[in-house]
Amino acid sequence: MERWLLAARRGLRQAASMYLPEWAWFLAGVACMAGLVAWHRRANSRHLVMAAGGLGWSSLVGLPQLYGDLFGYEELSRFADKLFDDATWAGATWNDTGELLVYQCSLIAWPGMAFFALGLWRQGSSLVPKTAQPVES
Amino acid sequence: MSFLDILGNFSWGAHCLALGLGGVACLRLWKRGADKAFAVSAWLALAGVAVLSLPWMAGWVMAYIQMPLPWWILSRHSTNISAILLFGHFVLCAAGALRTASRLPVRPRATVGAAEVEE
Repeated sequence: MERWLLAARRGLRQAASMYLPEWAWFLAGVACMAGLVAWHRRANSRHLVMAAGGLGWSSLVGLPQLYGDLFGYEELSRFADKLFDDATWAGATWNDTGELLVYQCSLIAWPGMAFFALGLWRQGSSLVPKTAQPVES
Repeated sequence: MSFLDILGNFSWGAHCLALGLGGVACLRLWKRGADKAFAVSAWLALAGVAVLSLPWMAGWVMAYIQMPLPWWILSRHSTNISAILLFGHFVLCAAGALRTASRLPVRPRATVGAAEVEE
């Protein structure tokens, strides 16, 4: 069967289980990024760009896991083996290089979330609080 | 404990902290006049982080109390529950941003040839 068809079937099976699949996370991140960009197009705020960039980093770093979830970790391991030589993984407790790649990526995802929070906080600073708005008579 | 283990714990803690800060920032956006979806989103994020960090906090508390832990702290479902809550956080953030944007007027944008038209 086609690789893409198999991946779609796997993704649907994951969605039917208790486990929230990686592609749902990815879609949520991209949707949130699109919303922030739409807001930026109206409000012209660099803080919103920073927040969207943070989400973009987190989504980008989650791509190996997305690939492994959809196409299987054997494929990802083959890719990781091609990408890095054995010295890169020396001393690692994992034998599966694909899972190790996913783990290493998960270690560097947090700055994205931090920039997302910081961007939203600073965008809040540029909004006028409700109590400060003049009362219309 | 190896360096990778320490980095793993650190990055996990930083991730939880950033998610919590994101929740607080969403709450602040709502209080400052952005869409109400941000308020729901903020509480989802805070609840998600609380559920996510429960087992960790329980492990920390275990050093001080000699008592069997309730099953819901050790439950492996805490990961799933927090995943669903945080998923809702991001989806509602998107909704809030889109709804806030739709209330703002369209900003005039420079187009190719605008300078010639002005002259």
